[in-house]
Amino acid sequence: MASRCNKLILISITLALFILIGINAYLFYFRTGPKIGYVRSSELINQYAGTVEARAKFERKKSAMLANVDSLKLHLSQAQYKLRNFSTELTREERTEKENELSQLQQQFFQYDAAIGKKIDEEDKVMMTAVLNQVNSYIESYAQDQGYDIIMGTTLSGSLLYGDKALDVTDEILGHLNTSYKRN
Amino acid sequence: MVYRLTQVMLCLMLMSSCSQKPKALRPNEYLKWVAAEENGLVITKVINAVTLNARYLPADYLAYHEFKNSTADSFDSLVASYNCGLTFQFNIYADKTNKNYSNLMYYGLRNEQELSARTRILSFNISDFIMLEHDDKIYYPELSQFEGYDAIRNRLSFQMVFSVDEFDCGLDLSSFQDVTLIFEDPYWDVGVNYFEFEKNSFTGLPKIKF
Repeated sequence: MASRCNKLILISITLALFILIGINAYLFYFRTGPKIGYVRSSELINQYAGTVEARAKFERKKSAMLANVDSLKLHLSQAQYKLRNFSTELTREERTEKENELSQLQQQFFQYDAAIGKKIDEEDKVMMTAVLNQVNSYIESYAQDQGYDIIMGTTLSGSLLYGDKALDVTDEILGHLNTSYKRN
Repeated sequence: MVYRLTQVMLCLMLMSSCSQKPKALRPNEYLKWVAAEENGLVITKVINAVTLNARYLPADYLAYHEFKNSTADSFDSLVASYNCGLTFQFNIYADKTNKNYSNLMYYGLRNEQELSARTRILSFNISDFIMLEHDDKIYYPELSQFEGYDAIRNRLSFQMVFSVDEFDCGLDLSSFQDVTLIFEDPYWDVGVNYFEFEKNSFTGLPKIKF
């Protein structure tokens, strides 16, 4: 009698185990919808340690470039001041010569200013491309590790109109992203 | 309760068996061990389909490569000659079928002048974009070499030797800490990348036995 009872218990446990495994497999393989999350893109990018560091470096570089523009600008305004205040002391030929020199200097300044502006824009673009590549690559591997099918991003163009806060993974991703930035 | 205790014991046993480093290995096994990422001497990152791979090359590894290609009699004296420097290899590679990075050497170039400038910088200015951080201090390579561009594997390799006093030729690592290899990407839009090597990756490394 006791052995029959034990057999029954064993069969019941085995059956329960099979049902449990079946439910899990069903949930794993045939879950009803894709796993979705979203991030607040601009917050994620602005608070990413890589962005903060790259921006600080870029600002230092930019300041050095603009310092050259400033010194050229000072040189130009000094030349303008001299010509304005002492032109009466010069002969007509001397004044024409000085005016030509000043005009050349002005042209050089505008060209240099435009070139530096272009260089700064290019450097900014390179810096941001690198940062965005890092963030995108991280999100890709995070999504794969965590089983996300889609991770969307809020943008200024408003492609994401509403998202439940429960689906917001910004803080979680930012935390991991900043930890992994310096620690592999 | 007993079940939980057994689980904890098993985990501890597994952890202790995993963390133990072999004392000595045959050359082939040694090379495999050094190249295995779980042993802490290799760190890999993938950014935008570009793989960045930093490897610490121990003295035995460097000595073995020299020993097998030379007529030197003493392996130990070769090891001793490599003991004091911290040697790293840095590789950048990408799949050749990737439309953006199909040729890393030419990536983003506009003309021949830019190619020669890039070649010059990669060959002679490695310290501009690869450095080492130890205890908040930046170290630049004492020796560096651009190992070249491998067109078949679409891979660029660099080797650098750093001199960090606290490493003390590997004899006394009490004031030695974790080191971070820094790669400040000059061309490939992957940004600044850090590769942190833990102090314990440098201690008790296996030796080569012949």
